[in-house]
Amino acid sequence: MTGWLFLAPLLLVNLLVIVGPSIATVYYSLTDWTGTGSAKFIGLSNYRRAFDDPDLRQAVVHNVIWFVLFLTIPTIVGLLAAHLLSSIRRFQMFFRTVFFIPYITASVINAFIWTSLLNPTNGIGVALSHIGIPFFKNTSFFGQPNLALPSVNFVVDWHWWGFLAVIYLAAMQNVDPALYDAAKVDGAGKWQLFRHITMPGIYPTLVFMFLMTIIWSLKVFDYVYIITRGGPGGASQVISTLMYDDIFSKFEAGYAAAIGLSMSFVVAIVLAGYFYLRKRGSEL
Amino acid sequence: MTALTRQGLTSRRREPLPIGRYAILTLLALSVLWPLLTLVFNSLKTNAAIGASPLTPPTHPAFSNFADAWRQGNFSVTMRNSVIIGVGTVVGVCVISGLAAYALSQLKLPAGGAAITYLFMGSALPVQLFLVPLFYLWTRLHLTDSLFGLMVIFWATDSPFATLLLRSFLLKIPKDFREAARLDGASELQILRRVVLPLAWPGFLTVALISALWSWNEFFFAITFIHEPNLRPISTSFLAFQDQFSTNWGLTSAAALFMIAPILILFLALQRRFVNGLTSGGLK
Amino acid sequence: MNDPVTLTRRRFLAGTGLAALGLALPGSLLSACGTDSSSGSGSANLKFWMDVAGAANQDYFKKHVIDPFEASQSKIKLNVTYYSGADLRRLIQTALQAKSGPDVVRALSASQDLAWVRSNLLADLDKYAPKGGWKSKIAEWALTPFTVDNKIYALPMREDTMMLYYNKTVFDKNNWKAPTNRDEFEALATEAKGKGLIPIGGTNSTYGASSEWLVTFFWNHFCGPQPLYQALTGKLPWTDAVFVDAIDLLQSYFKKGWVAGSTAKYYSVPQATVSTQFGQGQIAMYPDGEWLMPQLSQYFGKAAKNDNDWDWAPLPSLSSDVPPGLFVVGVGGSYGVNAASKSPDQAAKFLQWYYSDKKTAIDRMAGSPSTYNIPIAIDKSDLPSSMDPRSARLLTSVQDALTAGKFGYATWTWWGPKADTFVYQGVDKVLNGKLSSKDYCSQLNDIFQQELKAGNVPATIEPKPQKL
Repeated sequence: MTGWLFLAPLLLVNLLVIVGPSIATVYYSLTDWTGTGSAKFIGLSNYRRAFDDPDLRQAVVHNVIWFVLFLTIPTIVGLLAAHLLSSIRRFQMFFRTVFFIPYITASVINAFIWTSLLNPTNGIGVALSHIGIPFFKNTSFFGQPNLALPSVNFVVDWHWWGFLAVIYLAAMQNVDPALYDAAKVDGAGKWQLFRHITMPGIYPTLVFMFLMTIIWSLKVFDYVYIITRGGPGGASQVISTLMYDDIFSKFEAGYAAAIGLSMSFVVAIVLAGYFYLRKRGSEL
Repeated sequence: MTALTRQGLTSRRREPLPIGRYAILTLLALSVLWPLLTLVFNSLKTNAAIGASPLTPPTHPAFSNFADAWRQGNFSVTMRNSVIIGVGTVVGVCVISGLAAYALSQLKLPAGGAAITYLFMGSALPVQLFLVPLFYLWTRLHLTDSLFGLMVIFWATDSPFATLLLRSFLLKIPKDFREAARLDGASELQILRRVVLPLAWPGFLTVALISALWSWNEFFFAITFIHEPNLRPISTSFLAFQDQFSTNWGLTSAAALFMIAPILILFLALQRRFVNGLTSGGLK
Repeated sequence: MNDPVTLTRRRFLAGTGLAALGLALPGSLLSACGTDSSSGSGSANLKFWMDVAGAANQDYFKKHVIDPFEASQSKIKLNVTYYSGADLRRLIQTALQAKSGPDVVRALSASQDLAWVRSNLLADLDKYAPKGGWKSKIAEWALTPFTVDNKIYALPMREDTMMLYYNKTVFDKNNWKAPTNRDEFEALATEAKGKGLIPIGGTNSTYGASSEWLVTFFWNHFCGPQPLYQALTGKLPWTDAVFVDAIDLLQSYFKKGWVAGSTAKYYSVPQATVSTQFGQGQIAMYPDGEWLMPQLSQYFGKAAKNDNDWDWAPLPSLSSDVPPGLFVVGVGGSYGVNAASKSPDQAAKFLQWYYSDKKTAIDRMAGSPSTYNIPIAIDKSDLPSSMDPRSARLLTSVQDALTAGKFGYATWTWWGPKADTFVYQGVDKVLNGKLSSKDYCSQLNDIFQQELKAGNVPATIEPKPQKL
């Protein structure tokens, strides 16, 4: 009983801020609510529409692309950095601190830094062309439809990999050194050590970050909103910016609610899969 | 030397300095530091100087940007607001998630697993889902244009992750200590305060720092729920500043530094403990 | 305190949305800061949220709006908060819907206001109209789109039009004259591009709906006002070839690289950079609305450390069917009263003063080009000689165009809200190759006809001479 009492504050504040209002949204998803005024019940037609909506489909594709990029790039760089850090003694703290700094800076600031640096008129692209690398002279990273989404993703990756490095480093340092020693005696090389000792050793952390990455990839909003607003022409539109647009520009809050709920449903499935796997034996 | 290697005494291996590793680490560090450095450079340049060459260090450092930005951006007020919000958020999150994490890790709860799933779900919901009904509710409760109102929202959004973090930290505390205290007749709350807390305070420090960071940088809820300029936190004030002075990169860069500096100093001062807290609890 | 769970359940059962809750609001609660705007004694502290950016502009607003109003009477005070434009719209909308927010509402264009009106967020101003004399002081053409079922619910804040700005110094140097028809326009663009200049400036990066200005330009100056009027009244579908051709023409200019240097640059270079380029002589022509005018002083001349000057001319006609000298008209923003305001009478008093104190109004308009241009009748002789001639010419040109019946229709005023949003969101897709101009017009037509049937298109005016 004490247990539930201790949990009460968390559950209460959660109910008040998140779940309660979300339930209202469940209701609105079944209406034609514009976001202001009254709402007329229209059953499941918002959901049917979401199924066929090409804009939504495109946004989902963008979230998937985002997920692939957001998972692979920071993980690779983070693991690389963590591995290197775990094998040096001097300056480890220094590097660890430096790598963590982008994570500390706010999204508004990081967006400001990178939109300035990648400015097509006097940013890096132009500077490079002055020293002999002309490829990026006219590149508009956030304005070209095929580059907009990856460019925003780049900013987020830059912001994020340091955090991962710190986490993976910690996990690596928890791996029993004796395992390494034994493998080295058997003649294992660096890559084999990494693949067969390090990776399995940090496996639980990897799985956890993988899971969080899926969820955060579905939720991504801040950077896309600040830098491109989903443009140009929807080229970097993700699900949450689409929903935002529906609520505040197109007066279709009921439809947006339906999308939001569908998204949450997908997240629920992902989580269910995770917990199933966990029960089946990952060391969690 | 070969004899030593075969014994696998890695820490005493006398090998040449691993230049390759340091090179890569240095490159990574540069990729992190240089964009931030351009911010520092720009803050010391006048606008004309930036227009002429935006990516190089200043030739004639101008410190006027800082005084101007401080005044125009009303930073004394907004920083104070953010500090209040930060402290309030940290205290609330520590209490709420501390209690909850204790319950989930130490006390046998029949539906504990379900509670954890629920926490995950809560942190996965997209903000658009509950934003508009939440605003309406907050207005009714007189919590808009209120630092406290924003704090409560942050308690709800930050506590799930904090709880999970603390929980894995608390799982490491040996049961014997608690059993002994319980045999002595202490209540759960007393055990929490007298036995667990002293052992777990690094974890709490980490939670505190993360909550402080998130509340300092958060801008979406801030801009929706706080309108009164004298109550604005530093994040939204920077955004307004950027809009207002979009032509003056020097000034905006100085303002950006005002926003980064406090939280950066905090982290640099406490980074060792923060990383220890993050990593010894681990995200397993 | 009400249990929030019960709150939501009640809402659920009520089934008619937020407005149905009808909770009694104790005392004054519009702000936790304690400013009381109750209308008890006829005095009030009105909350007013505005999108005036920059210390200089805010000082100007204080000097020409807040101070004179407070000096004209003693009971009402204005409590103004400033926001950036994009934020302001979202904040006001969320606040209005929660039955809180400012008393005097800086509302949107006529097209977008309709959505708010349909949700009963703006107070009916009709009962204040006689005292305010709005119907006689404000031009009828500008009041019409804000009239729903013959009731006024907002007042026009700023008279909008579009023109062709150009770098006068660059033009003089090249012996160019402002183009008046399509041939001259295209020849000039080609020549400018040949000289390494950006022929037509513009950007969508800072204000996401900017592309609708270009659509307005092309639909009015290629198709002409007559087909637009017929389409707006439902007599001609938007799928008609003339509208599609206009979009094709617009797209062809983008494909030629005439606009912003490249389509990608149009979508990513911020306004400040584009304005700087314009001031430095890298952009030849710049089709935009009158709202650009106040910004130009900081990019040209001594303030910007260059020797250039700017001027403006009417937008060129893009087809032989459209006579030159046409001016698009619209209303860019409006003022209304919050339906949930505790001091509606006082808020209305402010609006009455704003449009009737003619001397203050003209002072306001004279000192800051275009921002404060309200559609009241102005005589050339009323304008002070200290006023920038380009700004004075703007006022008189629009008036003359209206009285002569040589005006066009701005998409952000005369279209319905969803159609208006689609105008720019859709054309963004067209310009980025994701939608054909035919499909664009066809989808727009679907949306427009739906809104027309539901009565969600603002009342419109005929393309004939208008009274001021």
